[in-house]
Amino acid sequence: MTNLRENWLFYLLLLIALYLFTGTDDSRLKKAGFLSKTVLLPYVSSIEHLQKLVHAREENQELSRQNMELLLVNTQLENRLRHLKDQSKLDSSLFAGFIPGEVIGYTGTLTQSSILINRGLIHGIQADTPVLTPEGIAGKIVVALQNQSVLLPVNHPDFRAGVVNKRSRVQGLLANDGQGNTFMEIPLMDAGVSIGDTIVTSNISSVFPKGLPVGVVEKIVQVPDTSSKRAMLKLFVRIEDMENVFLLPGTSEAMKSETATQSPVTEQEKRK
Amino acid sequence: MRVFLFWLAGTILLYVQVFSAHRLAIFGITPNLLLPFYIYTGTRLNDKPALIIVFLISLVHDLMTPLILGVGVFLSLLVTWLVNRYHKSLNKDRIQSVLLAVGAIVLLHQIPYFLVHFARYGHKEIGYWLIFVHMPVQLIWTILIILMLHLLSRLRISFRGYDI
Repeated sequence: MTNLRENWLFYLLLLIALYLFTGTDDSRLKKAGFLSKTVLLPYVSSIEHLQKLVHAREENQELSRQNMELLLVNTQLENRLRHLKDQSKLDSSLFAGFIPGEVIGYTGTLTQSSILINRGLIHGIQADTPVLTPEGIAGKIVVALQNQSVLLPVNHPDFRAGVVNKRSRVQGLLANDGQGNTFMEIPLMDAGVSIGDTIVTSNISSVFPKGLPVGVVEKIVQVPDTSSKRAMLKLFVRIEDMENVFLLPGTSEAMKSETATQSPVTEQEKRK
Repeated sequence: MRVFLFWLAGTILLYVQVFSAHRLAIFGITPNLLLPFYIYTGTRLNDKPALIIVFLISLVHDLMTPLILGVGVFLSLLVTWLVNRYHKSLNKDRIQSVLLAVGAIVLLHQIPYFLVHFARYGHKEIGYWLIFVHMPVQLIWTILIILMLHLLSRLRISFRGYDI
Protein backbone atom coordinates (compact mmCIF):
# COMPACT_ATOMS: atom_id res chain seq x y z
CA MET A 1 0.00 0.00 0.00
CA THR A 2 2.88 2.38 0.87
CA ASN A 3 4.55 1.42 -2.39
CA LEU A 4 1.36 2.34 -4.27
CA ARG A 5 1.16 5.72 -2.53
CA GLU A 6 4.80 6.53 -3.25
CA ASN A 7 4.65 5.53 -6.90
CA TRP A 8 1.09 6.52 -7.84
CA LEU A 9 2.28 8.79 -10.65
CA PHE A 10 4.39 6.01 -12.19
CA TYR A 11 1.46 3.57 -12.14
CA LEU A 12 -0.94 6.21 -13.50
CA LEU A 13 1.34 7.07 -16.44
CA LEU A 14 1.92 3.35 -17.13
CA LEU A 15 -1.86 2.84 -17.25
CA ILE A 16 -2.20 5.72 -19.72
CA ALA A 17 0.54 4.17 -21.90
CA LEU A 18 -1.26 0.80 -21.78
CA TYR A 19 -4.55 2.47 -22.67
CA LEU A 20 -2.89 4.11 -25.69
CA PHE A 21 -1.56 0.74 -26.88
CA THR A 22 -4.78 -1.24 -26.41
CA GLY A 23 -7.33 -1.59 -29.19
CA THR A 24 -7.11 -2.04 -32.94
CA ASP A 25 -4.86 -0.19 -35.38
CA ASP A 26 -7.74 2.12 -36.23
CA SER A 27 -8.32 3.08 -32.62
CA ARG A 28 -4.58 3.74 -32.13
CA LEU A 29 -4.57 5.91 -35.24
CA LYS A 30 -7.55 7.83 -33.89
CA LYS A 31 -5.85 8.34 -30.52
CA ALA A 32 -2.66 9.47 -32.25
CA GLY A 33 -4.63 11.84 -34.47
CA PHE A 34 -6.38 13.37 -31.48
CA LEU A 35 -3.17 13.76 -29.46
CA SER A 36 -1.23 15.17 -32.39
CA LYS A 37 -3.68 18.04 -32.75
CA THR A 38 -2.92 19.02 -29.17
CA VAL A 39 0.60 17.79 -28.32
CA LEU A 40 2.48 17.33 -31.59
CA LEU A 41 1.29 20.48 -33.31
CA PRO A 42 3.51 23.08 -31.56
CA TYR A 43 6.57 20.79 -31.76
CA VAL A 44 6.41 19.96 -35.45
CA SER A 45 5.18 23.38 -36.61
CA SER A 46 8.08 25.15 -34.94
CA ILE A 47 10.76 22.90 -36.39
CA GLU A 48 9.13 23.04 -39.80
CA HIS A 49 9.35 26.85 -39.86
CA LEU A 50 12.99 26.75 -38.75
CA GLN A 51 13.88 24.27 -41.45
CA LYS A 52 12.12 26.35 -44.07
CA LEU A 53 14.16 29.42 -43.16
CA VAL A 54 17.47 27.56 -43.22
CA HIS A 55 16.89 25.76 -46.50
CA ALA A 56 14.90 28.41 -48.32
CA ARG A 57 17.82 29.66 -50.41
CA GLU A 58 19.10 26.20 -51.39
CA GLU A 59 15.59 25.04 -52.19
CA ASN A 60 14.97 28.07 -54.34
CA GLN A 61 18.02 27.30 -56.49
CA GLU A 62 17.09 23.63 -56.70
CA LEU A 63 13.48 24.41 -57.62
CA SER A 64 14.61 26.83 -60.33
CA ARG A 65 16.76 24.08 -61.83
CA GLN A 66 13.94 21.53 -61.60
CA ASN A 67 11.54 24.06 -63.09
CA MET A 68 13.80 24.48 -66.08
CA GLU A 69 14.09 20.72 -66.57
CA LEU A 70 10.33 20.30 -66.30
CA LEU A 71 9.78 23.07 -68.82
CA LEU A 72 11.90 21.20 -71.35
CA VAL A 73 10.19 17.88 -70.61
CA ASN A 74 6.79 19.57 -70.77
CA THR A 75 7.54 20.99 -74.21
CA GLN A 76 8.59 17.56 -75.46
CA LEU A 77 5.46 15.94 -74.01
CA GLU A 78 3.19 18.58 -75.50
CA ASN A 79 4.66 17.85 -78.92
CA ARG A 80 4.09 14.14 -78.46
CA LEU A 81 0.58 14.66 -77.13
CA ARG A 82 -0.41 16.51 -80.27
CA HIS A 83 0.40 13.37 -82.26
CA LEU A 84 -1.37 11.02 -79.87
CA LYS A 85 -4.45 13.14 -79.26
CA ASP A 86 -6.47 11.62 -82.08
CA GLN A 87 -5.58 8.05 -81.15
CA SER A 88 -6.45 7.90 -77.46
CA LYS A 89 -8.33 9.76 -74.77
CA LEU A 90 -6.57 10.69 -71.56
CA ASP A 91 -8.51 10.37 -68.33
CA SER A 92 -7.63 13.83 -67.07
CA SER A 93 -10.30 13.84 -64.36
CA LEU A 94 -8.08 11.72 -62.12
CA PHE A 95 -5.22 14.18 -62.38
CA ALA A 96 -7.18 17.28 -61.45
CA GLY A 97 -4.23 18.79 -59.62
CA PHE A 98 -1.38 18.06 -57.29
CA ILE A 99 0.09 19.68 -54.22
CA PRO A 100 3.86 19.91 -53.79
CA GLY A 101 5.15 18.83 -50.40
CA GLU A 102 8.42 18.30 -48.56
CA VAL A 103 9.79 15.49 -46.46
CA ILE A 104 10.27 16.91 -42.97
CA GLY A 105 11.13 13.83 -40.96
CA TYR A 106 11.59 10.09 -40.73
CA THR A 107 10.15 7.90 -38.01
CA GLY A 108 10.62 4.26 -37.10
CA THR A 109 13.69 2.10 -37.53
CA LEU A 110 15.34 -0.34 -39.92
CA THR A 111 13.23 -0.82 -43.04
CA GLN A 112 9.97 -0.03 -41.28
CA SER A 113 10.16 3.71 -41.22
CA SER A 114 7.39 6.11 -42.11
CA ILE A 115 7.91 9.61 -43.46
CA LEU A 116 6.48 12.93 -42.33
CA ILE A 117 5.24 15.29 -45.06
CA ASN A 118 4.58 18.99 -44.43
CA ARG A 119 1.07 18.90 -45.89
CA GLY A 120 -2.03 17.94 -43.89
CA LEU A 121 -5.76 18.33 -43.42
CA ILE A 122 -5.65 22.09 -43.93
CA HIS A 123 -4.18 21.48 -47.40
CA GLY A 124 -6.93 19.02 -48.31
CA ILE A 125 -4.85 15.90 -47.66
CA GLN A 126 -6.63 12.82 -46.34
CA ALA A 127 -5.76 9.18 -45.67
CA ASP A 128 -5.11 7.17 -48.87
CA THR A 129 -3.89 10.21 -50.79
CA PRO A 130 -1.32 9.00 -53.38
CA VAL A 131 2.17 10.49 -53.12
CA LEU A 132 4.41 10.71 -56.19
CA THR A 133 7.74 12.06 -57.34
CA PRO A 134 8.64 12.83 -60.96
CA GLU A 135 10.22 9.32 -61.07
CA GLY A 136 7.16 7.35 -59.93
CA ILE A 137 4.98 6.44 -56.95
CA ALA A 138 6.45 7.11 -53.51
CA GLY A 139 3.67 5.76 -51.27
CA LYS A 140 0.37 6.76 -49.76
CA ILE A 141 -0.78 8.84 -46.80
CA VAL A 142 -1.89 6.77 -43.80
CA VAL A 143 -2.51 9.49 -41.25
CA ALA A 144 -3.37 13.08 -42.09
CA LEU A 145 -2.78 15.49 -39.23
CA GLN A 146 -3.58 19.19 -39.08
CA ASN A 147 -0.64 20.52 -41.08
CA GLN A 148 1.43 17.42 -41.74
CA SER A 149 0.80 13.81 -42.65
CA VAL A 150 2.43 10.40 -42.31
CA LEU A 151 3.49 8.74 -45.56
CA LEU A 152 3.64 4.95 -45.82
CA PRO A 153 6.48 4.59 -48.34
CA VAL A 154 6.35 2.12 -51.20
CA ASN A 155 9.13 0.03 -49.59
CA HIS A 156 7.34 -0.31 -46.23
CA PRO A 157 6.35 -3.89 -45.19
CA ASP A 158 2.71 -2.81 -44.85
CA PHE A 159 2.48 -1.27 -48.31
CA ARG A 160 0.35 -3.07 -50.93
CA ALA A 161 -0.77 -1.98 -54.38
CA GLY A 162 -2.13 -3.56 -57.54
CA VAL A 163 0.47 -3.42 -60.32
CA VAL A 164 0.78 -4.60 -63.90
CA ASN A 165 3.61 -5.44 -66.28
CA LYS A 166 3.64 -2.64 -68.84
CA ARG A 167 4.77 -4.98 -71.66
CA SER A 168 2.72 -8.16 -71.14
CA ARG A 169 -0.14 -6.64 -69.03
CA VAL A 170 0.28 -9.41 -66.41
CA GLN A 171 -1.34 -8.31 -63.14
CA GLY A 172 0.25 -8.75 -59.71
CA LEU A 173 0.46 -7.43 -56.19
CA LEU A 174 3.22 -5.10 -55.04
CA ALA A 175 4.58 -6.08 -51.60
CA ASN A 176 7.73 -6.00 -49.45
CA ASP A 177 9.54 -8.64 -47.41
CA GLY A 178 10.57 -6.41 -44.48
CA GLN A 179 14.26 -6.47 -45.43
CA GLY A 180 14.06 -3.61 -47.89
CA ASN A 181 13.19 -5.80 -50.92
CA THR A 182 10.17 -4.80 -52.98
CA PHE A 183 8.60 -7.36 -55.28
CA MET A 184 5.63 -8.10 -57.49
CA GLU A 185 3.81 -11.25 -56.42
CA ILE A 186 2.82 -13.21 -59.52
CA PRO A 187 0.20 -15.88 -58.78
CA LEU A 188 0.53 -17.90 -62.00
CA MET A 189 3.35 -20.33 -62.76
CA ASP A 190 3.92 -19.27 -66.34
CA ALA A 191 3.53 -15.51 -66.10
CA GLY A 192 4.89 -13.23 -68.78
CA VAL A 193 7.32 -11.26 -66.66
CA SER A 194 10.96 -10.90 -67.67
CA ILE A 195 13.99 -9.13 -66.27
CA GLY A 196 14.03 -5.52 -67.40
CA ASP A 197 10.23 -5.19 -67.67
CA THR A 198 8.70 -1.97 -66.39
CA ILE A 199 6.02 -2.33 -63.71
CA VAL A 200 3.27 0.30 -63.40
CA THR A 201 0.17 0.71 -61.24
CA SER A 202 -2.88 -1.21 -62.44
CA ASN A 203 -6.55 -0.38 -62.68
CA ILE A 204 -7.19 -2.73 -59.73
CA SER A 205 -5.66 -0.24 -57.29
CA SER A 206 -8.21 1.88 -55.45
CA VAL A 207 -5.60 4.45 -54.40
CA PHE A 208 -3.35 5.07 -57.41
CA PRO A 209 -4.41 6.01 -60.92
CA LYS A 210 -3.37 3.33 -63.42
CA GLY A 211 -0.16 3.61 -65.40
CA LEU A 212 2.07 5.33 -62.85
CA PRO A 213 5.65 3.99 -62.93
CA VAL A 214 6.71 1.81 -59.97
CA GLY A 215 9.97 0.06 -60.87
CA VAL A 216 11.84 -2.30 -63.11
CA VAL A 217 12.20 -6.10 -62.72
CA GLU A 218 15.71 -6.99 -61.51
CA LYS A 219 15.31 -10.74 -61.01
CA ILE A 220 12.63 -13.39 -60.69
CA VAL A 221 12.61 -15.87 -57.82
CA GLN A 222 10.43 -18.88 -57.06
CA VAL A 223 8.51 -18.76 -53.76
CA PRO A 224 9.34 -22.01 -51.88
CA ASP A 225 6.53 -24.63 -51.66
CA THR A 226 4.16 -22.64 -53.88
CA SER A 227 3.50 -22.25 -57.58
CA SER A 228 3.85 -18.46 -57.42
CA LYS A 229 6.86 -16.35 -58.30
CA ARG A 230 8.23 -13.04 -57.16
CA ALA A 231 9.59 -10.42 -59.54
CA MET A 232 12.10 -8.49 -57.44
CA LEU A 233 11.91 -4.80 -58.34
CA LYS A 234 14.28 -1.89 -58.42
CA LEU A 235 12.05 1.05 -57.52
CA PHE A 236 12.26 4.18 -59.62
CA VAL A 237 11.94 6.36 -56.51
CA ARG A 238 14.83 6.34 -54.05
CA ILE A 239 12.85 6.68 -50.81
CA GLU A 240 15.89 7.40 -48.63
CA ASP A 241 16.95 10.39 -50.79
CA MET A 242 13.47 11.80 -51.28
CA GLU A 243 13.05 15.50 -50.42
CA ASN A 244 10.23 16.89 -52.54
CA VAL A 245 7.02 15.01 -53.30
CA PHE A 246 3.69 15.65 -54.99
CA LEU A 247 0.38 14.69 -53.42
CA LEU A 248 -2.78 13.99 -55.42
CA PRO A 249 -5.67 14.91 -53.10
CA GLY A 250 -9.09 13.63 -54.06
CA THR A 251 -7.71 11.02 -56.45
CA SER A 252 -8.63 7.97 -54.36
CA GLU A 253 -12.17 9.32 -53.77
CA ALA A 254 -12.57 9.96 -57.50
CA MET A 255 -11.36 6.45 -58.26
CA LYS A 256 -13.64 4.86 -55.65
CA SER A 257 -16.69 6.72 -56.99
CA GLU A 258 -15.69 5.78 -60.54
CA THR A 259 -15.38 2.11 -59.49
CA ALA A 260 -18.79 2.33 -57.76
CA THR A 261 -20.46 3.67 -60.90
CA GLN A 262 -18.76 1.04 -63.04
CA SER A 263 -19.50 -1.98 -60.84
CA PRO A 264 -23.24 -2.48 -61.78
CA VAL A 265 -22.30 -2.55 -65.46
CA THR A 266 -19.64 -5.16 -64.75
CA GLU A 267 -22.19 -7.32 -62.92
CA GLN A 268 -24.63 -7.06 -65.82
CA GLU A 269 -21.86 -8.05 -68.16
CA LYS A 270 -21.04 -11.04 -65.96
CA ARG A 271 -24.69 -12.16 -66.03
CA LYS A 272 -24.74 -11.97 -69.82
CA MET B 1 14.69 25.82 -13.41
CA ARG B 2 16.44 22.45 -13.40
CA VAL B 3 13.25 20.69 -14.52
CA PHE B 4 12.76 23.28 -17.27
CA LEU B 5 16.32 22.71 -18.52
CA PHE B 6 15.71 18.95 -18.68
CA TRP B 7 12.46 19.51 -20.57
CA LEU B 8 14.32 21.83 -22.98
CA ALA B 9 17.13 19.29 -23.49
CA GLY B 10 14.54 16.55 -24.10
CA THR B 11 12.72 18.70 -26.65
CA ILE B 12 15.95 19.48 -28.50
CA LEU B 13 16.90 15.78 -28.54
CA LEU B 14 13.39 14.94 -29.77
CA TYR B 15 13.83 17.35 -32.70
CA VAL B 16 17.25 15.86 -33.45
CA GLN B 17 15.78 12.34 -33.26
CA VAL B 18 12.92 13.09 -35.65
CA PHE B 19 14.68 15.31 -38.15
CA SER B 20 18.36 14.33 -38.15
CA ALA B 21 18.90 10.96 -36.46
CA HIS B 22 18.60 9.10 -39.78
CA ARG B 23 21.74 10.93 -40.94
CA LEU B 24 23.67 9.25 -38.09
CA ALA B 25 22.57 5.78 -39.21
CA ILE B 26 25.27 3.08 -39.25
CA PHE B 27 24.49 -0.14 -41.23
CA GLY B 28 21.02 1.34 -41.74
CA ILE B 29 20.42 1.52 -37.98
CA THR B 30 18.99 4.81 -36.81
CA PRO B 31 20.12 5.43 -33.22
CA ASN B 32 17.56 6.12 -30.53
CA LEU B 33 18.95 9.35 -29.04
CA LEU B 34 16.14 9.67 -26.53
CA LEU B 35 16.97 6.49 -24.60
CA PRO B 36 20.17 7.98 -23.06
CA PHE B 37 18.15 11.08 -22.19
CA TYR B 38 15.62 8.95 -20.30
CA ILE B 39 18.44 7.22 -18.40
CA TYR B 40 20.17 10.50 -17.58
CA THR B 41 16.92 12.15 -16.47
CA GLY B 42 16.25 9.18 -14.19
CA THR B 43 19.60 9.68 -12.45
CA ARG B 44 19.42 13.47 -12.11
CA LEU B 45 15.82 14.40 -11.29
CA ASN B 46 13.37 13.30 -8.62
CA ASP B 47 10.96 10.59 -9.69
CA LYS B 48 7.86 12.74 -10.35
CA PRO B 49 9.36 15.51 -12.54
CA ALA B 50 11.51 12.88 -14.32
CA LEU B 51 8.48 10.70 -15.09
CA ILE B 52 6.40 13.65 -16.32
CA ILE B 53 9.15 14.91 -18.67
CA VAL B 54 9.85 11.40 -19.99
CA PHE B 55 6.13 10.76 -20.47
CA LEU B 56 5.68 13.95 -22.49
CA ILE B 57 8.76 13.50 -24.70
CA SER B 58 8.20 9.79 -25.33
CA LEU B 59 4.51 10.40 -26.10
CA VAL B 60 5.38 12.95 -28.78
CA HIS B 61 7.97 10.51 -30.17
CA ASP B 62 5.44 7.66 -30.13
CA LEU B 63 2.95 9.74 -32.11
CA MET B 64 5.33 9.41 -35.06
CA THR B 65 4.70 5.64 -35.14
CA PRO B 66 0.96 5.62 -34.46
CA LEU B 67 0.45 1.91 -35.18
CA ILE B 68 2.38 0.96 -32.03
CA LEU B 69 1.34 3.98 -29.99
CA GLY B 70 2.03 3.60 -26.26
CA VAL B 71 4.80 0.98 -26.41
CA GLY B 72 7.61 3.55 -26.40
CA VAL B 73 5.94 5.50 -23.59
CA PHE B 74 5.50 2.37 -21.49
CA LEU B 75 9.14 1.24 -21.88
CA SER B 76 10.57 4.73 -21.39
CA LEU B 77 8.63 5.19 -18.16
CA LEU B 78 9.79 1.79 -16.97
CA VAL B 79 13.44 2.58 -17.76
CA THR B 80 13.29 6.00 -16.05
CA TRP B 81 11.58 4.62 -12.96
CA LEU B 82 14.04 1.72 -12.59
CA VAL B 83 17.05 4.02 -13.07
CA ASN B 84 15.65 6.57 -10.65
CA ARG B 85 14.99 3.90 -8.03
CA TYR B 86 18.16 1.82 -8.24
CA HIS B 87 20.97 3.99 -9.63
CA LYS B 88 22.20 5.01 -6.17
CA SER B 89 23.12 1.43 -5.35
CA LEU B 90 25.42 1.27 -8.41
CA ASN B 91 29.15 1.86 -7.92
CA LYS B 92 29.69 4.58 -10.56
CA ASP B 93 33.48 4.66 -10.03
CA ARG B 94 33.76 1.27 -11.71
CA ILE B 95 33.40 1.65 -15.47
CA GLN B 96 32.52 -2.05 -15.89
CA SER B 97 29.50 -1.82 -13.63
CA VAL B 98 28.28 1.36 -15.35
CA LEU B 99 28.67 -0.25 -18.80
CA LEU B 100 26.87 -3.39 -17.63
CA ALA B 101 23.99 -1.38 -16.16
CA VAL B 102 23.60 0.76 -19.30
CA GLY B 103 23.77 -2.37 -21.46
CA ALA B 104 21.03 -4.01 -19.41
CA ILE B 105 18.84 -0.92 -19.72
CA VAL B 106 19.37 -0.81 -23.51
CA LEU B 107 18.34 -4.47 -23.74
CA LEU B 108 15.34 -3.88 -21.48
CA HIS B 109 14.13 -1.02 -23.65
CA GLN B 110 14.99 -2.24 -27.14
CA ILE B 111 14.12 -5.96 -27.06
CA PRO B 112 10.46 -5.55 -26.00
CA TYR B 113 10.14 -2.60 -28.39
CA PHE B 114 11.29 -4.68 -31.35
CA LEU B 115 9.31 -7.72 -30.21
CA VAL B 116 6.19 -5.56 -30.56
CA HIS B 117 7.50 -4.47 -33.97
CA PHE B 118 7.90 -8.13 -34.99
CA ALA B 119 4.48 -9.03 -33.62
CA ARG B 120 2.94 -6.14 -35.52
CA TYR B 121 4.82 -6.61 -38.80
CA GLY B 122 5.66 -10.34 -38.59
CA HIS B 123 9.29 -10.23 -39.73
CA LYS B 124 11.26 -12.56 -37.49
CA GLU B 125 14.22 -12.94 -39.85
CA ILE B 126 15.83 -9.68 -38.72
CA GLY B 127 16.09 -10.88 -35.11
CA TYR B 128 19.75 -11.90 -35.37
CA TRP B 129 20.59 -8.59 -37.00
CA LEU B 130 18.90 -6.86 -34.09
CA ILE B 131 20.84 -8.74 -31.41
CA PHE B 132 24.30 -8.73 -32.97
CA VAL B 133 24.41 -5.36 -34.73
CA HIS B 134 21.64 -3.10 -33.54
CA MET B 135 22.22 -3.59 -29.81
CA PRO B 136 26.00 -2.86 -29.82
CA VAL B 137 25.50 0.21 -32.03
CA GLN B 138 22.70 1.48 -29.80
CA LEU B 139 24.80 0.80 -26.68
CA ILE B 140 27.70 2.88 -28.03
CA TRP B 141 25.36 5.76 -28.92
CA THR B 142 23.72 5.59 -25.49
CA ILE B 143 27.04 5.79 -23.65
CA LEU B 144 28.30 8.63 -25.86
CA ILE B 145 25.18 10.74 -25.32
CA ILE B 146 25.09 10.10 -21.58
CA LEU B 147 28.71 11.28 -21.44
CA MET B 148 27.81 14.34 -23.51
CA LEU B 149 24.87 15.20 -21.25
CA HIS B 150 27.07 14.68 -18.20
CA LEU B 151 29.70 17.08 -19.56
CA LEU B 152 27.05 19.64 -20.51
CA SER B 153 25.62 19.52 -16.99
CA ARG B 154 28.99 20.65 -15.63
CA LEU B 155 28.89 23.87 -17.64
CA ARG B 156 27.99 26.94 -15.59
CA ILE B 157 25.52 29.18 -17.40
CA SER B 158 24.84 32.66 -16.02
CA PHE B 159 21.85 34.82 -16.92
CA ARG B 160 21.67 38.40 -15.53
CA GLY B 161 24.03 37.51 -12.73
CA TYR B 162 22.21 34.30 -11.75
CA ASP B 163 23.68 30.86 -12.25
CA ILE B 164 21.30 28.58 -14.09
